[in-house]
Amino acid sequence: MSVLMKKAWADIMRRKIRSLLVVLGIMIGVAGLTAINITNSVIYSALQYSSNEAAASNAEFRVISANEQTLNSVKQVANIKAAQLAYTYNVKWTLPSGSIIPLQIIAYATDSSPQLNPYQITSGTFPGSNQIMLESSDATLAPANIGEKITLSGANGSVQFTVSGLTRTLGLGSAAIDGSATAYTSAADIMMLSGMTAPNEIEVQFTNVQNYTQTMRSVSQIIRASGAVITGYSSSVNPYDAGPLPGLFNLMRVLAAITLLVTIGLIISMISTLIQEQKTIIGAMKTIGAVKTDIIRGYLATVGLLAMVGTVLGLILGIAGGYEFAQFITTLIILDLGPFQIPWQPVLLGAIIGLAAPLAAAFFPAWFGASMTVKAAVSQIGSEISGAVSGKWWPAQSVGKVSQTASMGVQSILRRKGRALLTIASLVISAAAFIAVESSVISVNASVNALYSLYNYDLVVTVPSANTAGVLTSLQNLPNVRYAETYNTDSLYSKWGLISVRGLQFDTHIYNYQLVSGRWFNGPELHSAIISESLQAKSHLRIGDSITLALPTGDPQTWTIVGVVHDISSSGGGYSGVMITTIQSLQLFNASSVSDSSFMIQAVHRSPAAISALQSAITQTLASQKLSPTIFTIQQEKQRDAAQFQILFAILYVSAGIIAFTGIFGLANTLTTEVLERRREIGVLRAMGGSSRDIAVLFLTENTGYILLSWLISGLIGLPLAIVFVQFINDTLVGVSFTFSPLIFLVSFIVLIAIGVFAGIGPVFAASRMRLADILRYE
Amino acid sequence: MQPESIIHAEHLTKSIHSNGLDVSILCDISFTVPQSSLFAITGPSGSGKTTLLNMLTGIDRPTSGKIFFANTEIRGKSEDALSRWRGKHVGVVFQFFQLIPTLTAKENILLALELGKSGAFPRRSWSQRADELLELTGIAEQKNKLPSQMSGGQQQRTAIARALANDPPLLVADEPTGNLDSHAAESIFALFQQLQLRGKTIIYVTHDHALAQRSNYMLRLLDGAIAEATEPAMEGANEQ
Ligand SMILES: Nc1ncnc2c1ncn2[C@@H]1O[C@H](COP(=O)(O)OP(=O)(O)O)[C@@H](O)[C@H]1O
Ligand SMILES: [Mg+2]
Repeated sequence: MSVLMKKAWADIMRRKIRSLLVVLGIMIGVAGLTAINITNSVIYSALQYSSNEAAASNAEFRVISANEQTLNSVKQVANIKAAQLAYTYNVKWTLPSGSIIPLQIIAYATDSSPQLNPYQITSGTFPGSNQIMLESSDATLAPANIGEKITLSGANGSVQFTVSGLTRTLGLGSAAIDGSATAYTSAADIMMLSGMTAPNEIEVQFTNVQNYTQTMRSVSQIIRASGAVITGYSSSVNPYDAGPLPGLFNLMRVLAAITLLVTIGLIISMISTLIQEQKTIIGAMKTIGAVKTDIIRGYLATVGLLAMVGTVLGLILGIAGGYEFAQFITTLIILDLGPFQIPWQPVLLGAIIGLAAPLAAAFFPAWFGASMTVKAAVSQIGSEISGAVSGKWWPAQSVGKVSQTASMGVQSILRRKGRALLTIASLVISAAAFIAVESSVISVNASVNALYSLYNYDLVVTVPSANTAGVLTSLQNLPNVRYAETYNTDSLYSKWGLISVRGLQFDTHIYNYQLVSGRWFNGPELHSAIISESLQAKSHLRIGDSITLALPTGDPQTWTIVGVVHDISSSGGGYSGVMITTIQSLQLFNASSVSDSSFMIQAVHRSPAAISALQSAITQTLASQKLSPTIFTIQQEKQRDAAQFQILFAILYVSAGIIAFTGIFGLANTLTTEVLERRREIGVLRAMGGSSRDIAVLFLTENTGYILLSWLISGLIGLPLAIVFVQFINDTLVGVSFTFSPLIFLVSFIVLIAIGVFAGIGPVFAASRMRLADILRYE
Repeated sequence: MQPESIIHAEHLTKSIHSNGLDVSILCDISFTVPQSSLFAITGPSGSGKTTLLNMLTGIDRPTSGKIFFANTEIRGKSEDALSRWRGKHVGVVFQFFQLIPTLTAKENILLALELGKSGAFPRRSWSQRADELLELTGIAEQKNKLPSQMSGGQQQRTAIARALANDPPLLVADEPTGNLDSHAAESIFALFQQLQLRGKTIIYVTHDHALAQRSNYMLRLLDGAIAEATEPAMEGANEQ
């Protein structure tokens, strides 16, 4: 080994604590980055299975009196790649605890797995008579084992089924996503349970999803032409398409990039410090013939060694952490991660960045250090020695020992401007990250709650193939129902992106519209529409303008805009905004007397018990009309939202935590360096009779100064950052508007204090314990 | 110019700009250092000794005037070129030793050989060369010790051994005994005398009147000017 390399190694071993900090800094950066990327990669590949577009149907038409002939004509439609018939039936799965879960039973004419949305039996067998196979993600809602009996109730009363197996369906999203379970029975059993005599669903897949609207219209016409009735449709264009996860991953990438930047800043600070400290050594090396490249090579070797150790540790931690985190996410949305497999791209990326970033970060300080003239380096020798006792840091007029040490602590921050700047920057980023995260959490919660009060209902009831007016009347006549209203929603593609179209009663009491301009509907207007602010901002449509949209199952229609409302319910996460029409306006174009109907219900007594009783009453009343509704309570919806937001919040806090960790290392590095650099000063204090406490005060003051200064700055830049960040969440993830809370400043203060304590303990302790003899021996 | 001179300085001046004023540190200094001599520079603190020495080693540049090293003028070289030149031709010894604290005595010498890459000593002979130098400077027993484990005198011997690594003809030492007790200082001076017998030229700065007197030639500075010069160093100055 060359002596230069030996020196590189010795530099590391000499300052063990600081070297450890550099290694830990690199480790945390690499681990954070790798963990986030591994989580991405693992979850993505799992999602690719469950949202496999190749196998998923793009739309389902709910139909009455469809047959093989209908199916054959649908298959002839241009842009239809595949089509199949299915039986679907919604039942309620009553758990032993009494709670009720909506369950969709699916059956196909043949017992083999279908072409579209094929399922894989992961355990057990295909169901025989009175047997059922549950989708494995149903376990997020209620766990059930093979052999167990479950109670299902439909329009014909309750029936017990035995679980015969578990399935994993290609293209089907997790039960946790929409809160409803999925199961398979034989065609005979589903007909027995529902009273159906023919398949009630046509599932289609498009060759080109871009021609969605046109194809939907053609298929609708063909189905109607064959004599069948369309009672409703759903376009299950991949449930994750506009769903939260891609946005979540983008968010995580942004956070990983911030982490990386902070780590690079940390490395630059550490290397500059190392070189600052070795100025005289650089001078000595130059006098014995070292040239610039020798010196740069030496420092890069030091950093390279540290980077190697940090990267290896970081990769191990990142792989383990990423997989753990992915596992945590899957417990929330139940995904089969499949066999453990380390994705190589994130590991390679982590390795490259872990090695390259420190070397790149070290290069400039090393270059500047190596470019220092011998004279500058050597003259340092003298100034360093006289500097320790010179008047600058040791003013003649002593105001008192403690306040004097404290004032030295403050001065020390100003002394090494570059390092102080980097330290404060990393602390500010740490605090700002928490301000952004905390603001996001507060804003998301506030927006979600605003949404709950925007739609002030307790229950949502969906009834397939029903007479809407009849069902509405029976719902309104139930006890404890204050308002029952019919509504409809659809997602329509426009040139401004996906618009959520809502049909509401003009006299709604449940939708608390917040008019910004214009007016609400005067009656069951057929050609008036009200748009949300977000849609107005995107489309620049004004009151009086008209908007033409094509309904997938009907012809294009034109509405005149009469008002603008504040409604962020579909302004983010892939949606451009909301358009509201009267329910009559939407129903008009679904011309059929029988259709899937949805109702919002607000109760008089709104306790969970009262709502649960109301739920049973609705089930019974509709069962007497041979109808099997799907009912969601607002509680269920809130739980489901909470589960999804829990993932978001977990990711945000973990990322902010990683950034805060680098903040701790940055501050600890600065303080450690200060302690090392100021050995002589400590020595002088000691020689003059300073106690351990005096010296601790000196460094504690410095520590506190950094914290307070960073807190002030983070308040100034954290707030705009938080606004931008919340906007980013709104654009990529979920409609959310920024909510300010002074709490964020308290949180950032607590975070900074915690960083200060963790970073400060070691260096302050080390400084106060430094013995005079050791200090003098250092020379 | 005397043919046997190793250093010849002509009308050196150095002034620096500080607080808006031009301050003269060295003023019209001319002298010659003959080969294989012990050449002492003395003077009170702040008289410009270090500044003068730094110009001889190329660490600092004169404001005006010329310096010749073995009849070649030192000037206009880049820092790196000067470093390489110094590695080969000049050994520098500091008051505070400036050993690499993380390397042992022998490794400090090996580092100089590695950095010198002079070709005078092929890589395989480095270890032997280092051992010889340790022997010469009388610290063979300390060779595996770190600087912090050695006394001041031993550290300075190590620094001298390191300065000699690439066999430079000239050794320049700024107060090499300033940090040592009189006994250690005496033995360092004895080492200088021994090196002189081997043909080296040694320029050293000292406050110690006795050590200055034992030189072959002496230059005394006062406020940046030559206050006194013993023969024959004076000859160069007298010519003007
Ligand atoms: N870079 C500099 N800036 C300002 N003054 C300097 C500088 N270098 C040297 N001096 C001044 O020049 C004079 C000579 O310094 P120096 O050569 O170090 O003296 P000596 O080594 O004899 O003690 C001193 O007064 C010193 O203060
Ligand atoms: Mg001096």
